[in-house]
Amino acid sequence: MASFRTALLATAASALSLAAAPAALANPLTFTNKTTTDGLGSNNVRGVYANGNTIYAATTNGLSISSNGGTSFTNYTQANNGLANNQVNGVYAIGSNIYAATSNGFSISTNGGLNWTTASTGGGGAFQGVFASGSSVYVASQGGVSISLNSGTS
Amino acid sequence: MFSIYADGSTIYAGTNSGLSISTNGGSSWTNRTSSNSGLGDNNVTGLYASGNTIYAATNGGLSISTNGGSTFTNYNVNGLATGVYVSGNNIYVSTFAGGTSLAVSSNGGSSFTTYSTTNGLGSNTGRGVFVSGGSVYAATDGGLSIAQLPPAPVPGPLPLFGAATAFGFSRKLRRRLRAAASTSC
Repeated sequence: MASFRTALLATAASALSLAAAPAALANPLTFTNKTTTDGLGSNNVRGVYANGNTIYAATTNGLSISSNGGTSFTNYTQANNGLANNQVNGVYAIGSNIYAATSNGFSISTNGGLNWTTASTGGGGAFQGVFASGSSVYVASQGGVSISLNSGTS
Repeated sequence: MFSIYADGSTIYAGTNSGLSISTNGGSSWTNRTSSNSGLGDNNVTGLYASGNTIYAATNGGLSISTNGGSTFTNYNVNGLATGVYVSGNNIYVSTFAGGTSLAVSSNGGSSFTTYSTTNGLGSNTGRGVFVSGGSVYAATDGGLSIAQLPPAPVPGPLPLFGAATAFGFSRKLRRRLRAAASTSC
């Protein structure tokens, strides 16, 4: 009887501890902040996208990319790399394509940010956001939504 | 227009006059507003969606719909929401104007834990949030802030101990039942 009670208690306790296990954020998050000291184009970061160790930061002074989990960033600009505008409001990346919604055009790079081409999206004005899935690219601008079904080619 | 999201053939566009939803790749749109669907505010700054569930960051908080946008429930995130990302059971909302720049909920929005410069964030003005590979990325107007998510909880020795005891007990019980069965014959 004694062992029966022990068994019941133990299984009840194990059931409880399993029930308490779902992916709640038990511990508070602690942040490390990255700034221009780490290579960001500006501390004013408007958007972020990440995949593995590669982080893309849309800043008000260029698109900053880290390939080492944020330890250091390389900044890509209008003057040096052909970005449509240094004010980057949104960024998304799929495979080797990087999409940057800037205040004066929608930019696409296929070589890690070194060179950019400005896509003819229509819509016009300032581009506020971008989302992509497979070869579909969706761009939000003052003029509405522009959709490309071929990775931004048309 | 502030924000854009797509899930399959459904496209979500956040504007300063509501949330426009197209279920046919952009051919036609339905606009959801605070008056026709309970959206927290008509300025929709960030979006995330999965199936029929839509998360809309608005100037009035985080609005969640579980019926494709027909109706929304609005949640307080301590300030104006600027972006939203969902990963696992957790909802991450970037915010500003409330003294904190990130709000995280693990219970579908019922309650949020808020984060500020006290937790290492670059600023209390949050611009966007993204989660990938066990890291949370917060875009702020004082830098890009990165946090590692805690590892998945590992069961302690107690469940194993309980299982072992229960197994031992069931062996004893079976033996006793077998004995009882043989004596009754």
